[in-house]
Amino acid sequence: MAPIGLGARDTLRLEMRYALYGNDIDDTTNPLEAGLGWVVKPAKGDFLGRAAIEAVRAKGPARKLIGLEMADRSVARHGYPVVKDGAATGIVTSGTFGPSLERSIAMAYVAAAHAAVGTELGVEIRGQAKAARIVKTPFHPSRVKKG
Amino acid sequence: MSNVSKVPGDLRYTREHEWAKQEGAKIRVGITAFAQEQLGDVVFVELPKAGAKVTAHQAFGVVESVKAVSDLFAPVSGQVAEVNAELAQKPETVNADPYGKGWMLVVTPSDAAQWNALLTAAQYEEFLAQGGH
Repeated sequence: MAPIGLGARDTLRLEMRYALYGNDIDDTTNPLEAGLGWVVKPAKGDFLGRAAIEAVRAKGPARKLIGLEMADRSVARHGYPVVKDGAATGIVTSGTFGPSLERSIAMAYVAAAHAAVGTELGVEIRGQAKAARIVKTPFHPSRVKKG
Repeated sequence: MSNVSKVPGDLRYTREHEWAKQEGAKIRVGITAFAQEQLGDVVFVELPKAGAKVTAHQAFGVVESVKAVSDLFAPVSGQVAEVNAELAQKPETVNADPYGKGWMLVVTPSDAAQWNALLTAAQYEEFLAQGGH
């Protein structure tokens, strides 16, 4: 065993696509666009925010939190713009080099129209759009046993 | 900490933790063992192309570690004669061998006097002893 720090922990949670409050979700995001619809149970009765969430569910979220894989090793970090064919389509919420994957990965909100797995996007890193592609998440295969 | 205090005596240094090595009329540039230790695992190095101009004390590229992105500063002004292309595929070489295979640029200096303004090994060691920033 060896001691690890927050940087290491951040790469691990990101490879599993676990959202970090303050980075990927906050009081300006909703659970549906963040892919966290499964934690919301409208059938259980009324709760604070239920009407707002139901309104999003009826229309479908305008943007979605997706997983990106970078074409090269450059690192997409929190706040970097995401572009589709040169036009802004979203923003990176978390990004790192994933040591287990040996690839640079990120989470980003992008317009729902550009949120399908396989979509080719760009991340603006130091003024240059670096190639990225939407991939399935978790980035790293889950070993969580269900049931 | 692994050997960060071992500062090669034949090199010159910047306060931004780059090293410079005189090789004939040219100067080879990299980052120090202290720098790579502070950065942690280096995952990406962005360098200029051969032929590009660099300016002393100004950024010529960036180094990304898992934790952070940091600018690389040119020890001297001049033209880039050579770039370590191997770092594109093996950026971890910067951690493994910062004074050797982890070199970044070879520069043809435009102002020879700038060399003398760089820190000597003894001065850099003293700078590190004071915390290095």
